[in-house]
Amino acid sequence: MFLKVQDLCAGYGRIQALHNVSIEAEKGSIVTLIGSNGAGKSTFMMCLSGVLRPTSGTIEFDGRFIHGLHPEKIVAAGLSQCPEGRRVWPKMTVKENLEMGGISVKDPGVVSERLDMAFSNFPILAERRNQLAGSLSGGEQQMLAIARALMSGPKLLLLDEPSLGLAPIIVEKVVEIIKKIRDGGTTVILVEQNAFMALSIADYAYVLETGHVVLSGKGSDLLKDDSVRKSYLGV
Amino acid sequence: MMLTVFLQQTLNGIILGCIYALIALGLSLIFGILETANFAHGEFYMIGAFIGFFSTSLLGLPFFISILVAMAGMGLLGAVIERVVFRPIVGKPLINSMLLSFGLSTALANLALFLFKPDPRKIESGLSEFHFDVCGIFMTAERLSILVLCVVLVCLLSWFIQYTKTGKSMRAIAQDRTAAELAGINVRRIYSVTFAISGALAAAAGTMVGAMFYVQPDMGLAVTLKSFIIITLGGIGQIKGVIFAAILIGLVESLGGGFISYAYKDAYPFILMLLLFILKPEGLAGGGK
Amino acid sequence: MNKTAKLGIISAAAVLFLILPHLFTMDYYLHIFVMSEIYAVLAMSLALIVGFSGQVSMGHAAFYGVGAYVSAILSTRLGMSFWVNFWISGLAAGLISYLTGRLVLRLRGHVLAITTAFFCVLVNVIMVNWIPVTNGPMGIVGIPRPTPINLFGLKIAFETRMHYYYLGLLFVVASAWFLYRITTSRLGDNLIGVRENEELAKSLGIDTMKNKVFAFTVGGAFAGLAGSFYAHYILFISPVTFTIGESINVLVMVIFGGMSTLLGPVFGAILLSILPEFLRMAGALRLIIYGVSLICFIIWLPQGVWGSLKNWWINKKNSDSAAG
Repeated sequence: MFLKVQDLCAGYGRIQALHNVSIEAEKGSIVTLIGSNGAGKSTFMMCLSGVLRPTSGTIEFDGRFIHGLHPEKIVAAGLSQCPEGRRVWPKMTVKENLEMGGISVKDPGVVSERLDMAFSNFPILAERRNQLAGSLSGGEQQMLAIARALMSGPKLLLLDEPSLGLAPIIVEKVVEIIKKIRDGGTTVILVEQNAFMALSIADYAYVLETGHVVLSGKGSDLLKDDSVRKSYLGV
Repeated sequence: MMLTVFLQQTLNGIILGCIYALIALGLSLIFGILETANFAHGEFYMIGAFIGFFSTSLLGLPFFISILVAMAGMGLLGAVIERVVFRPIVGKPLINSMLLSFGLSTALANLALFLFKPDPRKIESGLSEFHFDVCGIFMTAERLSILVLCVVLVCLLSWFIQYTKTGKSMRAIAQDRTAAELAGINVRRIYSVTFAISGALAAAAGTMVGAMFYVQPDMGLAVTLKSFIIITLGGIGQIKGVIFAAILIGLVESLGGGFISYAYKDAYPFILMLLLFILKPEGLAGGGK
Repeated sequence: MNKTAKLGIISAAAVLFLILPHLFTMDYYLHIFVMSEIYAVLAMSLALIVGFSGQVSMGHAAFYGVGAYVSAILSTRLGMSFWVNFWISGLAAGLISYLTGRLVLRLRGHVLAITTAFFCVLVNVIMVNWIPVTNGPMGIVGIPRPTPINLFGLKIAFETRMHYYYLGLLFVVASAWFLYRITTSRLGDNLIGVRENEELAKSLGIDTMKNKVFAFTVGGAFAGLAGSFYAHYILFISPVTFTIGESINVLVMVIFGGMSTLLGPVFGAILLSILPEFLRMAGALRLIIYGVSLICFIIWLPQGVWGSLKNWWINKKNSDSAAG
């Protein structure tokens, strides 16, 4: 298993957000976590990235335990996150945002290469390279956030709600990008409220409710599951 | 005649303001990047002044070298203080850092008092004898070179924040700390660097003031309060705003001291602050980053 | 801890506090005790603002001072009795803190702190300069003691510190009870909600501004009551007592004791009234030790001494029951 999370518990102060969550991801797959607001999805992602310290449980990535490591060590180990709400740096340019995304990379040549790749994969960013990130539209910021997360050359990419607040046309684009990323060899963990979109492209899926994993299975299977359809697909 | 006095005080005010800018910019960085209060900032300034004083008097180093020594010394000490004292409370509510830094301020100021005794000292820059007159306005080489040095340091700081990787990391953390962590920026290292830079700038300012006026253990308190006024007026993280506010405070102090009463010169910035508070109580929120 | 044990401890503590002035009869000690009582009320009322609703206020000394001055002026100029002035001072301080709160509490964090700090300075400046009313830096002298009262046929004149001690004890206990009722009410829950996450509280429909102002007002009112007590105890007041330094003093007591509880600050007030007396021996190093201990406290015991003891006790209970 490329990523193996076992019995993860985490919370904020007196509130416990995750209860014994166990999730696995095979290399080169797209795994998705769906669930409603407050289910604990973002908490989970923050634990993976080392921003939030879990109270118990283990996270094993690419053969080593990464729980308890500082965030920059986790990025260096090949795990990168495109956070919920995009969180680009509004007063820095598109180019600067991307460059800072590659800060963990020692070789400036590699950074330069990846920058070029980012511009060719996301032409809209190339156009706006010297614009302040805060002036971009929602969809453009999402592209920037994804491109920024890719600058560190991750083996595992976490995507937290990439479709949030985006028009359906842009969401389609994002889906294409996610597939491309997976095809390029990067494992993807996708957290989404848009269950239909997520289950359509996921190889494997987990359903999270109030911090518990309540259901898991192949993406295609969960799409047909009755309880999922009722609760999350509005059927 | 009145005009000459006015111009003289204006010039003094600008020089004073530039020195205040160095101190306030450092504090603004700490506030903006670590989201921490530092009521001991004036003590960084005071310690820097003492390092400068001992460099010139004990080690016999020339004035500008002493400034560099003070900057290096206080920079290092600043990083150590960050690691030992402030790092444990990062992320906690603001009141923690307020009281913590207040304790640090008390401890440092009284330690200096204990070690160095309260007598004021003066730093001899060797430049105060050279003076010249420009249309009746008196200016020493010392003040001129201090003004130039201030401008140089501020420009250096600006360039550093705008163009270097570390500087951009600092801006990134100030704009969105979590995103910075996720990008792989070593936030803890940047915290140390921020404190080091702040300490260095404050030390430079302290040494300059030590040459222009004097050095004594309690010189920090008034400066801390004025710095807070300056960054409240100028906006946290707004370099230009802080510089402008600093010069304003310098002018208020200088002109007030020159025209109204020298004895109360420390009070004028507070009075300005009170007036602003009364006239515009909602308008004191900090600006962007 | 079961109910009987708790009751036992409270009774023991009550007995201790009641016979204390008979154990330490020297005026010096009694004075420290009375001042501890005044600081206890100041600390508890500040804890309501800072600890329970999470608003950093550096202006507490201002309300303390308003209470003191109102009482002093009413008694020396108008000959009114302490027993009346006390309540008027509380009202006056409460009114001023209400108005200030309405104005200032929309700010947050350090801006709020600095603004309250400047408010404190402003009030102090008024005390110093409004000479016709406050007598400026010379202060107000000759404040009369509380007029003697008849209690169960006994005439009690407040001529000794012991009398003040018992009155103060009553003051502290009554204040504690009142504030305790507030913190355990739904208002208290709301306040804690505001402290933990103001945005979340707002989204849940809690009128955060109203709650914050309420805490600020009540806190300020109690500070005013403490000020009145102080004025009629020391019998002399001047602006020098009501400065930012004093605000910070009280804040430190709250922190030392543990700001999210009510008893913690009382503990802090007692501790910080007694400790400086011991440190006097250390001379010049006293303030250095004070500064360093404050740093250590914030780093290692952020919930204060009381809060940490509470947590240690709770953890011990949990691990005991888990093991058993």
